[in-house]
Amino acid sequence: MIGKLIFNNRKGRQLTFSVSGSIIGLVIMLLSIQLYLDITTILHSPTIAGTDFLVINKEVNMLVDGNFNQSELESIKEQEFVIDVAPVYSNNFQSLVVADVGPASSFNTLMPLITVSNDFIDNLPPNFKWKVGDKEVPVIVPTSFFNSYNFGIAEASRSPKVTKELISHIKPKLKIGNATWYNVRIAAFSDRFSDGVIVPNSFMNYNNTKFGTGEKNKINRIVISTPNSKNPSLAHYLSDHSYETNSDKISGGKVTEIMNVLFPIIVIISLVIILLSLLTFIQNAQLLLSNSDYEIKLLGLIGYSFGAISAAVMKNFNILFGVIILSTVPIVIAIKYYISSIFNHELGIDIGIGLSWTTLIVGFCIYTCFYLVQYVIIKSTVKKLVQSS
Amino acid sequence: MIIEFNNVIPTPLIDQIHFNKNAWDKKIELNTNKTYLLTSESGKGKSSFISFLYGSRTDYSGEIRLNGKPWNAYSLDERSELRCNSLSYLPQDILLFPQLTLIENLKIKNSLTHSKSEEELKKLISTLGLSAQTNQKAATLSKGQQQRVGLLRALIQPFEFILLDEPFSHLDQSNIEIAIQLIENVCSQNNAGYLISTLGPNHGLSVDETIYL
Repeated sequence: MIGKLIFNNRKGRQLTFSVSGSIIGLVIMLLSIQLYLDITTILHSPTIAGTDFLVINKEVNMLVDGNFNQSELESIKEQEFVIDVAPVYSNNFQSLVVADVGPASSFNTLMPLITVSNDFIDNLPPNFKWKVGDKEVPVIVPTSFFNSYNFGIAEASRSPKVTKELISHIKPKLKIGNATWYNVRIAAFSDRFSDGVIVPNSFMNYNNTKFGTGEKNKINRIVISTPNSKNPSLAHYLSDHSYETNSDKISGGKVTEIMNVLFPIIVIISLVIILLSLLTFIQNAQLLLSNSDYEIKLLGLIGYSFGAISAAVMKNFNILFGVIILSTVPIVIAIKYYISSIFNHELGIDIGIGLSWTTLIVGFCIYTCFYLVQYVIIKSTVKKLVQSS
Repeated sequence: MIIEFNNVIPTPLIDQIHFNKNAWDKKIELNTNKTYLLTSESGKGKSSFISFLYGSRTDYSGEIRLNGKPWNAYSLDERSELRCNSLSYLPQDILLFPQLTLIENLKIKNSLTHSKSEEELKKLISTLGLSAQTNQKAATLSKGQQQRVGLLRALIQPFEFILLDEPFSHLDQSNIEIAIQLIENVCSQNNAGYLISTLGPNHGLSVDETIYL
């Protein structure tokens, strides 16, 4: 009956605003936390990202030679976001490739060669070996070279385009130095390397020694394997050391960085919304109590303790808190379900529809703060009123 | 229970009262198994005296003690406990919950102690001639009816001493007689005393002491 007496004086519209504000604030807050957790989990998950490979070089600069030394390689390997590192060696001799690509078409071009540890080669074919004396050398052609022939050279020279199967049957010849010729066998295509045709390590060493400039092989590119190329620490490391790589491969790290910047902003906005709704809630409670000033004083006058009155008032507020929490959780889950389906359809990533413990604990803490502030205000206001009765 | 007034002076009346002629600023002792009539002209502080005694106002100098303990030393919970079981009070301006019905106004008080059954409540309502108004909102009752409801609300709790501030001011003679009869019966059942304030007439009450303000 006490609740009926006091809550009869409530202002319905104001109550609706404060309850709605609280729900909106809590929903935004919980969703931001949950999505931040989901996205960072995805971006840091090796099971989703797999092992990525990045070819890295130094920024071209007039002041430095652009080569990696051994200590730099070791330093890179020590980084937590690096699994392994290997140098990419280039030829320091002249190499020319000549091929017949049709009955009346042939082309010849200078061809950069590279060699790298077999562990780092994608599509490593069997028998990718060469020994001194072999007249045939197996090579792995970058897919980008193949594409640039088909969509650039072939179009410009009105030569026929070739398929990967057909090109495997072409027998180009590789001219090393002035008069050494090798038959080339195209053994595979590589999507990982784009700046040189990969040849076996033994072939490169032999010819560099025999036809090269005599300088020790310099390392101007390296390849690293990493559990997650989108790790922001990796991007920072590369940037700090003026290393360059394919920026597309690390752009996910920027997503994380953007998330890191956006997340506190969203949290602050959510906190402001929650704070405002808390203020309207408090104001609503105080207004309700001041509208019921006569009833509360009279209850005190006839013998009700302030504890009993504030408990009866809180009981009614508990219903409102129940409405807030029972509305917030399903709304968050529903929105999460919607966002999850977008991730699934657009990116093929499953972020799940559940809420994490962290989110629930943060929600619980905010809810508890809300409840305690309200409880203290109601109790102190009722106490003042009863004291004067 | 013994109630002591030690040199109590109401702050609002400090310049208006000749303290040597009345009970203000003196030592008075009230024994709660006795009956008292508090009488004075209008504006001399009868309602203030009763409010101070009930603890609902504190704008006075001096000290009031209940069972030797100063009123201001009682906690809010102790004060509520006293108001539930020891001290009962009908204010001059009655103070009902206007949005509640007559019976609800009694029930909200009775739910503190559950000392009366619903049947007993209805019988008391009937005694004061209010049966027809049982479910009528208090706001729509006449002043005389409201005064009788206020009296019933004060009488349905257990008490040692009841304070009635001009309880008959809106009642006709026959209702006054019924009310006095009821007050004396209930006080007798509770083995309790009373203090009734009046502007002058004693309404046929035979009291142990009269206090002049």
